[in-house]
Amino acid sequence: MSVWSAVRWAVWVGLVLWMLRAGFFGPPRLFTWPMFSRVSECRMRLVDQAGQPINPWHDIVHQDPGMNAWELRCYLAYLREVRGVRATGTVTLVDRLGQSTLRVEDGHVVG
Amino acid sequence: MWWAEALADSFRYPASPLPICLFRLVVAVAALYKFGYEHHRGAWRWFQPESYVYYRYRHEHPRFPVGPTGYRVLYVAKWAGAAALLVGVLPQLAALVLAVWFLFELRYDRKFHTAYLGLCALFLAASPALDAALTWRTVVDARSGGLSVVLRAEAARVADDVFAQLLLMLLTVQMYLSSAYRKLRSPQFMSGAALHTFTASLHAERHAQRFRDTWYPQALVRRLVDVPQPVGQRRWRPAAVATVVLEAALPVALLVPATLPVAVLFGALMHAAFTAVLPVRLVPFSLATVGSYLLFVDPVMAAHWSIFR
Repeated sequence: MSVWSAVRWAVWVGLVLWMLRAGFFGPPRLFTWPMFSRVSECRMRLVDQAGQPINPWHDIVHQDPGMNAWELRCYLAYLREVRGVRATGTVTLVDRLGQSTLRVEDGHVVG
Repeated sequence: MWWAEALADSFRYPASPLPICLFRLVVAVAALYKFGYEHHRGAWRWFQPESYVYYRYRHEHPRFPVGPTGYRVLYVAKWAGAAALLVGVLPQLAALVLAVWFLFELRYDRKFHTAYLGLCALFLAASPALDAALTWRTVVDARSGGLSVVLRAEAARVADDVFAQLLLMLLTVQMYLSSAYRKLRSPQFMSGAALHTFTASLHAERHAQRFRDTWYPQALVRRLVDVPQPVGQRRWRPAAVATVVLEAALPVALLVPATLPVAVLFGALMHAAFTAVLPVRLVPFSLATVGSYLLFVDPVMAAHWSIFR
């Protein structure tokens, strides 16, 4: 077996092991494919200081319904720091643990 | 089976370059489609300082700084890479540029279809036969010598290095098996709740969305989407079970020559159904996955495809 061939076999075996580990065990990462397998939804009913509705669909890359608690806090921080908007209202998050409604006041999650 | 012979001979097999060159075209078209609709949705401005996409990226990856200028350099490079891959100019380099872009894109927009396209581009870059057929030279030569003559000559070429082709086949097989396993282990998917929640929430928010992703027919909305959760999830359950069964069976069926045509048919139908759920976004993914079926065809047989005779 030539060196080049040995290198290719090493790449092949390494990839197979990586694919097995990522594909079937542990949290999602590269080579993990759990498409559509989790319930995820975020319904925002937020207004700015003037009472105008805030539409998050204008800011996110894709029209995904899912936004977790970290992403929600990040979005509220973006509204405060970049847009100067301090949101108020409610956000309903749905994930595998169930549904929770969060209250937002002055740009922060308060409960 | 040809792929077993190729593995036994350390990734060597007297192969026609047609399957991998056709797949090169498919990946390039899928990338151009994706870039096109994202450009229409404002992707050129996603890393502007006032953009939420950029804000979120900086907070999630403070140690991986790509600023607005770097983003636009990569943005232009991705278009050039996709165009070069399509016409077969420095195709290995073009595939590598696309892979770098897709892996970067995963840093600010983690989507599984992006990961699949990125890995396809990365593995394509390992093929020395990418410019052996169906390139800009094919068009130029066809003007003087006739298209059928040129295609026949390209089909008759032999490139015995199938390492990249086998890597791409491995990727598709692993993607389906992993997807089936993860879905099977998910009570939300198997109950139909995940599919119902996804479609129902996208449909409910459709008027708020600046760029819509869904256009469900009224009959489907009445029956599957705009219904109470327990009803919706019960009605989506057969689709969920069928998806897992198909995804688990497809890799085996693709690898066995006798069942390959059936696998192609059912795989194409399954991806058509996926694409109906997300008609814009899943087109590139469906193109690439169904296009990867070409790679499972015995490359010796591929040289005899009637279109190239």
